[in-house]
Amino acid sequence: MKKKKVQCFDIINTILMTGLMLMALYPFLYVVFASFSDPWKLVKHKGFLVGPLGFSLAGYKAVFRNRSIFTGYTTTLINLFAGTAINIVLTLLAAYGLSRKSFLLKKPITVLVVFTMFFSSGIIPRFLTVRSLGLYDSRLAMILPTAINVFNLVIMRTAIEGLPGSLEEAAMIEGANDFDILFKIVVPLIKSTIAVLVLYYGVAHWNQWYQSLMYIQSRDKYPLQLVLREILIGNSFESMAAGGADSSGESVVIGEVIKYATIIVSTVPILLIYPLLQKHFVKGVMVGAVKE
Amino acid sequence: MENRNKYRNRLVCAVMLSAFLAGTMAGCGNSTETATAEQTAQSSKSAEQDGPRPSLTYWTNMDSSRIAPMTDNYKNILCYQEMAERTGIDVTFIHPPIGQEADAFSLVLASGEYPDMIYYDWGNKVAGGPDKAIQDGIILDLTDLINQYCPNLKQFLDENPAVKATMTTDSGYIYCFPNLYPYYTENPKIMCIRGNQLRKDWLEELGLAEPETIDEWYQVLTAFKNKGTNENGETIVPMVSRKLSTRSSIVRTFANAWDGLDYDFYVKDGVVKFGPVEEDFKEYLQTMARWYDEGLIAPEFATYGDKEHDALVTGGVAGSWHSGLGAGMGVYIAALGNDDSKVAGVKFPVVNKGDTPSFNNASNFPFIGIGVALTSSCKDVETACRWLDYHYSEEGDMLLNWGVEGVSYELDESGKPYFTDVVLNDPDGLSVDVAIGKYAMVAQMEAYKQSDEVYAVRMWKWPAQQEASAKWDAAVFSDRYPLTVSMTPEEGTEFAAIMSDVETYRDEYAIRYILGTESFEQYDKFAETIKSMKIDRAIEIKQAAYDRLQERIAEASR
Amino acid sequence: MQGIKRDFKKNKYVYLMLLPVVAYFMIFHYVPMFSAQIAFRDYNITKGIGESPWVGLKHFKTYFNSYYFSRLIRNTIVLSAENILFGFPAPIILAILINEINHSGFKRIVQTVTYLPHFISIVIACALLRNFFAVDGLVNQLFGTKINFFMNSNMFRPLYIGSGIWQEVGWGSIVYLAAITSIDSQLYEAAAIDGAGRFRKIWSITLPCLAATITVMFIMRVGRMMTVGADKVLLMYSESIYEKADIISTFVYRKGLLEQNYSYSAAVDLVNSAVNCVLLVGANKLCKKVGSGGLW
Repeated sequence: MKKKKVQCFDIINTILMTGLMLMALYPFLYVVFASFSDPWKLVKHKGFLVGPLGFSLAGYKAVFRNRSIFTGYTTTLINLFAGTAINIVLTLLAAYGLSRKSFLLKKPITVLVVFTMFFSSGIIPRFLTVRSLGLYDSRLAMILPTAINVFNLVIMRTAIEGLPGSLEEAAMIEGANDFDILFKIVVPLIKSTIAVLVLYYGVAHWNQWYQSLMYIQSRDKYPLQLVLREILIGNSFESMAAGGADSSGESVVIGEVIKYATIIVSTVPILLIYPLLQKHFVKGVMVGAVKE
Repeated sequence: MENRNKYRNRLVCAVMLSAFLAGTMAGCGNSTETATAEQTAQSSKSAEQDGPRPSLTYWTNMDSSRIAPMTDNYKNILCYQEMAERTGIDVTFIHPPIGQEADAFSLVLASGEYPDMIYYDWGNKVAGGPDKAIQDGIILDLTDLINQYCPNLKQFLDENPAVKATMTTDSGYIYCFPNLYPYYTENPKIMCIRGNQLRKDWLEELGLAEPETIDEWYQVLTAFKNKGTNENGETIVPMVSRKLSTRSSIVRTFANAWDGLDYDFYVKDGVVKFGPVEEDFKEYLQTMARWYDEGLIAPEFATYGDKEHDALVTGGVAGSWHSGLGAGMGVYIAALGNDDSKVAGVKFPVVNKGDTPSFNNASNFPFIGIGVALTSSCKDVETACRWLDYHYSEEGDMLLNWGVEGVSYELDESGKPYFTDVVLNDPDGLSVDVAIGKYAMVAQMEAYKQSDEVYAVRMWKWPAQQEASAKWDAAVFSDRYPLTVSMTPEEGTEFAAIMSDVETYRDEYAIRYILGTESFEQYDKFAETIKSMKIDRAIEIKQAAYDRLQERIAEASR
Repeated sequence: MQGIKRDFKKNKYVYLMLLPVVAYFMIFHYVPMFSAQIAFRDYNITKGIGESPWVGLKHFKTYFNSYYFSRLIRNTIVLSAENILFGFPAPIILAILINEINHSGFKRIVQTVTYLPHFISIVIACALLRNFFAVDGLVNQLFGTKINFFMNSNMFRPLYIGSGIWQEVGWGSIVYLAAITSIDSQLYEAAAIDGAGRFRKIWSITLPCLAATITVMFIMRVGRMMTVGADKVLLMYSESIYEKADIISTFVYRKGLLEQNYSYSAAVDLVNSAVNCVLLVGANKLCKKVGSGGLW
């Protein structure tokens, strides 16, 4: 195994990457520090934070005092697993189907699908559709309406189209049908793309709140983000002022810390998903399958 | 192929997982009950029953800041539990997600199936106005129903014809059971709860009196600037303001000093005017521009929202500002070390010494369009009316404002209520507002008369606040363009089309003049451009609506 | 129909696969899309779509005749175009650079950290931005200047685009990294044997293999040009910089506060979608001509 010489390029690259990382990391640290800070000190503070201002769990206490957080986590996790599974399966089917060159309806269906990226119908028509399907206030309503994202679909289709056609031909000769080809040949080869889409769909489910606002009435089915939004808004100055009457205002101060604590509570779990998926970003296994 | 088994297993796993989850979803439907320890468990059966109790559905906002931390449904608040006992009527509360009430409201309307009662800003936030909502058959006209089933409310309305007039639409309908702010009592303690404040300690240090005129303000601000730094060595910002487009921006409210001139619409002797096209507006802008140029106003104020504004005040750097009594002043005093000698409220400014100041941003109207409407889906109209009318009775009034006697309040020797320790010094350290919220409605989100005394208790922790309130109250509020004015749908659309351009232009240029980016040489084009955008037509529309309101008030008083 | 019958025989599993897919799009996208027609009506919630009066092009006329129409269009297009010009290549470059990192541990760390900003809500990100770029903030302190960034209309676009890159470059690079890892390592080895240096390898192997992904991402980006979201601009602008900062969506947002006018915003959306469509088709054709293949 050759030892690579450390080139000038590598040094510059390393410096660049480190700089980028600091810029990416610092704001996050800021949020972490702020979330553990004393509310009064935080409200007065302007500028950098190199550590929490007086350690305090007040923000987190306020966030967790709301019992809905726990049902929120449950709902979001359900959406995450079931939803992403549905997303990936349907997107795979769609991407594969639309990558078949000899398929007669390929172009019209592709246009049909891509067209939906532009014309979104607004909340009321979608709401009425979901309602008429009997899905109002059901968990499926948080998953089905966004079952396929065209953007992701196109990414996957591109990946499939990038595979050498010889593989499929070889499989067809051996009597495999489209389902076999899809699941036994294509899927293993585009593992990294699937990993990317699991990430994209997964994060989308994690962050979702507006749909639940539209389709869900029972509070115990509210996903995490909607619950957190309520906590955040419920402690913001704007909401109190907008209400028309000024309050005694103590909760205004804690509102700042709550904002930061909310972010930590709502994003830290999903941050862990990427490191977990990273191992799938390995080079595709192509060797040995090609029969030129 | 070697991968075959692996993939089959994965597929099986995925299917099983989905099936399991689907099963969980189907089974999930249990609602979580939240009851705090202090709340006594109330049984929902009344002593004798002959037949099922009447029940109603009620869609209403959850009062975010005060009640949400403690409960996720109003049925858990003690006053409602007690009310259910006393009236024998069960009410199911439906709450939209906090912060998204407007969206949720649109959806409720779109669905065509409404809850029996809906609390909303029917006066201002429904497209086409309440008239249209009644004519389109969404909600009911309450005029006759009130006369028939609501003795308490009827009495109040008869005694307060002006309020009744603001609740009536141009077509003569009454559209909701009103949420009444305590201003109808004209209790001076609470008539004006927001105004200008400044650092009293600096003022005294510099030997200055509280400023009353524009010139005096200039002197005070300049003195603050010359003082240089505060006790921590940080540079003083003599005046901190929110951005101009916010109603609570001090720079914006200073326009009122010019005899009630406003940044927006206002009324002078029955004539509706639009500030930016008035002559005095130039002088106002010039004064502000001069102050800005000399560093008397925060350099970046044009971008400030509440957060930046508050940071400067609580950070001890701001010399003067504008805010509310409780959420503003109360917080600032606490942040500055719980010392109320540091902050004082001051009278609103005037141009000429001795004039009475105007303040157009006081929101002391008892009724502003918010209340509970009965929808066309309501089957048992009589029960709904009686339940809502109960809110205006003495009993209901006490329940909603103070809570339950013996628990959250007691009566003193003269029969006046006062909050108990449980509320004022909550064992969990909750603020007064949030503590009250466990037992009673805290100042809104209901159809009832808000008690002025409760208001005062909530706002006034410090003597400085009481003094501030008195000084702010020494102003004229009648130049304000009233809130519950209804426009016809056609007027509304035309007005909105004109105003979106006008407001964009006004906001953009007014600030540029103040910042100095635009010179005053070409000032005439400012008013001219606005006029070319048909502002006169907009003023006409506003005037017509205003005149109709005045007529209704006059008629109701006869 | 004969064609379809024959095709069905050959591709019957494909038809089967696409059945749920097409059903999904019809039910959840096309059926509701039917209501885009509220742009041509004075939509009244209670009357429903069918009963609301038809007003033809009234809302479109209001939109086009607005005093600010040309300014809004110009600002939207320029902002979008500059965003694409600077923002589009950034994740690609980052992906390539990350790929060049030799130390696999460091590589993983960089990947994980750089995508963090994406998860910070836009509200906090803008608050931090204001903090750093305040008149007495960090940036001004570092350079010893006193620039009022947020009140200077010339600073708006650089700030908007720059902060966008900071927030999205890491996240955006993921899809390119995934594509890069699918490149056959044998190609690199062969090139090394031929004496290719690092840059040559990137230019001749990495980029061409990424071409398909880049093309697709580019076309879709262009196809969203007109719909620059209001959220971030609302947080960053103020009246003093309307001249460059006010875009279609922020104007419509403010307009929406004055009236609940679904029809007007639907009309605006429709116009934007139409323009997006044209741009998309154009970009697609262009890419096909250049040889990179298109979306369809």
